[in-house]
Amino acid sequence: MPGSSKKMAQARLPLVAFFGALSLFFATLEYLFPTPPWFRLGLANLPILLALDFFTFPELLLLLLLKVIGQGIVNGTLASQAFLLSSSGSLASFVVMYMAFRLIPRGWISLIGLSLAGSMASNTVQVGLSMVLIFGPASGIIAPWFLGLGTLSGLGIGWGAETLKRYSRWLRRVKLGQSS
Amino acid sequence: MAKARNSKHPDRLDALLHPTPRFLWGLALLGVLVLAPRWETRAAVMLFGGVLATLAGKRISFSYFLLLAGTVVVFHALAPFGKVLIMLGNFPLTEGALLGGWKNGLTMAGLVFVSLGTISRQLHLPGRFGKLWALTFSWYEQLMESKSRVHPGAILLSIDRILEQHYPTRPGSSPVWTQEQRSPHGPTKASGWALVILSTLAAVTLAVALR
Amino acid sequence: MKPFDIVFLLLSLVLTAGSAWAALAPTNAPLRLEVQTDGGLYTYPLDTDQEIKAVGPLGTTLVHVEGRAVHVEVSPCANKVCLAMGTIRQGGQWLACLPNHVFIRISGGSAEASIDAGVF
Repeated sequence: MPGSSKKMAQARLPLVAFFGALSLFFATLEYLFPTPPWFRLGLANLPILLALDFFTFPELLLLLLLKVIGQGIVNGTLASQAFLLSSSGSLASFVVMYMAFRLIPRGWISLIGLSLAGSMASNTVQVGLSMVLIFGPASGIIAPWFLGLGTLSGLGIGWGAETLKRYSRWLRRVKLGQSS
Repeated sequence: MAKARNSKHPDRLDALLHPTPRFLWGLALLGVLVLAPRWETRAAVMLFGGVLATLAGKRISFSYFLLLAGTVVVFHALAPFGKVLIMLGNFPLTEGALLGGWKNGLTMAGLVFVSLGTISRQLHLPGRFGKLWALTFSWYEQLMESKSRVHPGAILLSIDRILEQHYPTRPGSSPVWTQEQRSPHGPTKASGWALVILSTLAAVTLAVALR
Repeated sequence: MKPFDIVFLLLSLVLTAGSAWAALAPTNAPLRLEVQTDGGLYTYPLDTDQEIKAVGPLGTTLVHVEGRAVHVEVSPCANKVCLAMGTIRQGGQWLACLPNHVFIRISGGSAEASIDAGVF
């Protein structure tokens, strides 16, 4: 019945909000892992990876929006080029990850592969935009560095997500609760 | 009243300005930054942005600015354009490319500084999404208070415990998603409005005068 | 790791290597426009359509770049030989307005040495 499904969807909104908060929270945990100053691991993507198999598409989009706008407000970068780059990268990453998740049979890909696909898309878009808007046409030299580091971080985030998925009892209880 | 996140670096602009006009002020300054034809105007707005960011309690450093602007200049210089200033071997170092890079570097630094100074964490977003964001932010602040309990040595377990504390999932418990009842932010003070209007007028006047 | 994990890892590595190759591979120097006047040497990319004002003792010679081709549009000299020289497109080709001390050259493509500073 339309009425009850709308109620169900509304009941899940707090969970979407909590995953949004997790995204912002995980972003602040990046300091625990040493990286070069220009480069961000992208831990904020971890909750999105985890949510892929039990959030609906609209919920995932909402989560993405919360993550992107939320980071802009929390970090104060909402009105700068950093927001433009990160939102474009996040959108590209989400589109690719979601398509891969939907099109590739479950047993053939894990969160590691999805994370790598998302990382590739995000970094390609961000490098392209940086070249056009910030660094000019001669800055192609930055591409291999970003893509290479992005491959490493994609692997790392994917592995982290798989580990959380496998061992987090909290996550297991959340999924059970949502399916009942 | 929401407490300052870092009592060592309080947001001094928060007392003067409501988050929404503060955000719109930022957009106005950004407009000048991006559209001003001369680099001198952009430099002035960037410096003002630096002051705002510092007043907002954000820590910005001269070395960050140098690094950001410096890399932009270097990359632009790699695509020669205009008057050749000096030949570095076979490579022409040109005035046009250096100036273009310098202007772009100033703009990028300025965008970051102005944004840091004018985006308040208490920025209110409209509509149902705004309500969802408010809930998200409230949870984020609660999670941040637990951050010290994240142990790198037992990271999974410590994170799991924190998640369970803030979003209980054990049988019998129900998630407590109360929002902290924030008292609404005070309106912009007269001195705040004066700051907004005078600085925006000054920036626009400078941009027009230095065409 | 599952099959498509490896697929995407390989794709990632190929993309990284490809971008490194594209950025670092020695290519022919791209074609550039060099304009020499009494005021100095100026250089511009040839792939950008633009109008260049070359200032000399007689006034301004207007150099027109469009579709990777260059010609003199307007010049204050009496005989207008520079206009009659037509359009240049390839490395090594040149145009000149001698009365106005303007020398225009396309460099790059194959190995090209820069012109002497002291032509005039």
